[in-house]
Amino acid sequence: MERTQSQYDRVAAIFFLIVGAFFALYARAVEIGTWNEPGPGFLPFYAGIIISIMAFALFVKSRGKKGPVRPSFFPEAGSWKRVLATFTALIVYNFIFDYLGFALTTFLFVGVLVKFIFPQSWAKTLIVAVSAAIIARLLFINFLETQLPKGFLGF
Amino acid sequence: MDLLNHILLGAQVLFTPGNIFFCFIGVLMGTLVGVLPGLGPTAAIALLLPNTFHVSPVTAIIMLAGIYYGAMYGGSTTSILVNIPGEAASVITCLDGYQMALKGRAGAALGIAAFGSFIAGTISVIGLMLVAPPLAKFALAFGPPEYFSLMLMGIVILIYLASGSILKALMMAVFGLLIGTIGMDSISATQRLTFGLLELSDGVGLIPAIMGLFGVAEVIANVEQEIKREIIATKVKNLLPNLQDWKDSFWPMIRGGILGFFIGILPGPAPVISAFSSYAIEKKLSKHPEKFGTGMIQGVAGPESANNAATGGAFIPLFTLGIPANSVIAILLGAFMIHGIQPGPMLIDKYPDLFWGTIMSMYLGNVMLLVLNLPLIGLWVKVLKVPYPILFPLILLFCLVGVFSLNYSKVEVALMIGFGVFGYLARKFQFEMAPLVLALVIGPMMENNLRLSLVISQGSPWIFIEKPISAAFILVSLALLISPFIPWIGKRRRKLQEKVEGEQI
Amino acid sequence: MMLVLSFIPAASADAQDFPKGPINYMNPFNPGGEVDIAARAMQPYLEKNLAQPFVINYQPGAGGGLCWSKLAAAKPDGYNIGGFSIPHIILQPIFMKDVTYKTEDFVIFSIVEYTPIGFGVKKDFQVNTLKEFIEYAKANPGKVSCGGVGKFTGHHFATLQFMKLAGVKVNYVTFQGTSQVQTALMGGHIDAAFTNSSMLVTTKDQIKVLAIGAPQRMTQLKDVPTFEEFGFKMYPRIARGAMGPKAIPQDIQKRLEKAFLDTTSKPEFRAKMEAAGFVPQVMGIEESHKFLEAEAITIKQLAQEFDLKRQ
Repeated sequence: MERTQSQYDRVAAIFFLIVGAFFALYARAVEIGTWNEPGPGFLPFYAGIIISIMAFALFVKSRGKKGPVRPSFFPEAGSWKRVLATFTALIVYNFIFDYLGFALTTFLFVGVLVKFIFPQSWAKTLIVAVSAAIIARLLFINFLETQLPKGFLGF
Repeated sequence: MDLLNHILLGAQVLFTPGNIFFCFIGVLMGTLVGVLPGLGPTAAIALLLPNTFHVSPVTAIIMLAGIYYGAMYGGSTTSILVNIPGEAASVITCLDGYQMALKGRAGAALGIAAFGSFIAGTISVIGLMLVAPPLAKFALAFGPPEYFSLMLMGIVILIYLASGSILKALMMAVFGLLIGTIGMDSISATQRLTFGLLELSDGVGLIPAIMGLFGVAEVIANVEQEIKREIIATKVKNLLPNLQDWKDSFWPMIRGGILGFFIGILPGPAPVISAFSSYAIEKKLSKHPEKFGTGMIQGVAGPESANNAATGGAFIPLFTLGIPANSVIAILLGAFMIHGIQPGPMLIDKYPDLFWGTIMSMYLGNVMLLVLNLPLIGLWVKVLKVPYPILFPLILLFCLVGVFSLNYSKVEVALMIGFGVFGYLARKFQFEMAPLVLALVIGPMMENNLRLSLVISQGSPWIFIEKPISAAFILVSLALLISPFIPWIGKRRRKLQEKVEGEQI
Repeated sequence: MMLVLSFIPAASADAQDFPKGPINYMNPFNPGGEVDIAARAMQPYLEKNLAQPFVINYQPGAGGGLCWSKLAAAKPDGYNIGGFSIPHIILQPIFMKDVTYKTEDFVIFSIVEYTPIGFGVKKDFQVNTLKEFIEYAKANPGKVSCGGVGKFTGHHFATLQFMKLAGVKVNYVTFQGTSQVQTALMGGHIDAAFTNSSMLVTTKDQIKVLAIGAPQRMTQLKDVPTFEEFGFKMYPRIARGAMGPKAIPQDIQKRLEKAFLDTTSKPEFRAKMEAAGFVPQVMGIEESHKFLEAEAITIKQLAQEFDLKRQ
């Protein structure tokens, strides 16, 4: 589905309008203070108002000319799956790596992404995933002595 | 003449096997640390500081200074190769440096970055030698109002030269300011938007934000497209910059060096501000400003020189006032004190061998960096040849580990992913990231200085105009903001904008 | 946000093998400040004594409140300790509602030094003695800007005390660290400042030091009269040292106490501190807590007089 730039702009404008309103309202809960003694809410309040005004201006502007036509949001059919999968992989990594251990999670992470996003052969996948896990472990935990979790399996 | 004697003294101090060795170690560790995204020079210095107790102060300072430069340079490498800035100052290098890499010109970019840093480093060393004391006085003239106006102007310059819509760039900048307020307010100890999470009391970290907006978002954006991009399949010719590159980069490097040096004198995030300003100036002076962002070498030469020169400039407040400009220099200050050296205005007179020895070591350090890194360029470029389907998980992995190892905080990793989502969407909606990042970096300082100024002036906003230096900055900012509306300037900008609209950022 | 490469939580805390790893020392203020100077001076001795690295981390913000809030919640294994300032840790929990620690949450290993607080004005300010300043301030109430570090800190209270005793009104400007106050004063962006003796000693040629809050004149500042000489009985000072979360096991506390005492009793250390404008102290856990209680009583009394609101 094709979209025009101005449609995108309108959505963005609404987003920033909400952001501005949120900060301005929140600022009132923490003291705004006076011009003599600006409080913690001072900047958020005025900045929030400023951004809301700008968002409104953007919105108005977008009702004007249509703007260039943009390609559809996801350029190709399978795109959204890849994007979603990669984000999910990141989130899952963050959740489980202190439980499973850094090395193992890395192995799974690299393996899954290599295999399923732009499918490579199993052989390649295994080689890459294993070497990534090993090298990363050696580099970060042994050489640099960063405190990365070893997980319940102990490595 | 006096200066020559000083140089000789410094050289004498420096060229002992011990000092040269430590200089080398410093530079090496610094580069290594700078290349790994997320780790920073403070880490390396903290690690190596205990080892300096057993050596003389001069040697210690030489090594620690070496780490500082090394890290600055290492950060540029990742910016160019994988579009992930090693630290805030390298963000600008990503813009054109990465594009150059995509076109097979990674070698040239890396080479120019190295040479530019070297030349700029030299300029700043010369500057240090010649003008340290009077410059320090200049820095003293900057108080809260001046700082605020300076930073404001910095943001406005960046916005003015945004390739897209000014309005949108402004919105991103203000958004960055707002995000910067998250955390514990430093003046009143009030928690703002931290949702009870201790990790957020320090505010949204800069590294998670940068890694998310530039690293994660970039990878995801790439993943969207089927790999018909044989990224660096084009043979990487010329590992070094060619003659044309040199001609193009010469003046940007000189300008960047001088600019960076002066900005570096002011305490604060000088390398970042210098890099951004240099980019803005180069774009302004260029005959093809619309090409910036697609791989113009001036966009790498200028900023890289600037941020290195700023590093040198940052030593000035240390040597002349005893005031550290940032936390890295502060550790050096601590090293001075441990060795019983009281920093302050009398330092140069009382300890000439320390001062001149350090200066010469900076020069040597720059040379070593060059020698060390050039052969490595070939190696780095090979890394790029790894097919993207295999490379990208590794890049993501580096991002994850890099962010986590900062503060051992999963919250920050989550933040990075969040920024990744936002960055990805921002690209789609044609919003630029650079104003957001700059605002995030200097926002907290801006706010502090704003509030301080208002307290000093008893609530009167006119203080920003009453003080001459501050007024100058404000004037420039206003001029830049209004100019699009003045017909003949506005038209030029609109033409610029139309050319660029419809292109990916 | 520094990378703490060696942040090791100890599995079991035996005093015999404590410390097994590096000690993480949290500095509540900016680099180059007094806590930093003292910490760096102690560092080599401590590392020798404990046979482990002594890593200094900076966690500035809210006049120290940010760092102390974190320290109170840190793991009480002896590996996480930090610097402190008295009266800050007494006043903040009472007056700042967003600070999440209480004075009683900590055990103080040692008070290492204190700095009397003095008063200075910028070089080109048209007064030369404290009396002249008071006259000027009376003629221009609320117009003179006076800097200090943080709210509900020693400097803040010194300012309040002075305003009450001298009957003047100045405009208190809050900075994040001593070096900021220093640059602002040297650059003339603020007119005056209440600040630590150490800073006054370092910059005495670039500013005019008008008074010091000690019972007698300090040897490092021979020409500077005390507040008492003007009839103001005020002795503001800031005491600093090292502390940790209260729940640290007794034997580990003792071990740390010993390390600090051994360091602070060394003559070279004391000499260094004095030269830099500090008044070095040698106090262990018990003495430090007695000191803390005594200061608390004085300070709370003052606080009553000033009629301050909780923010």
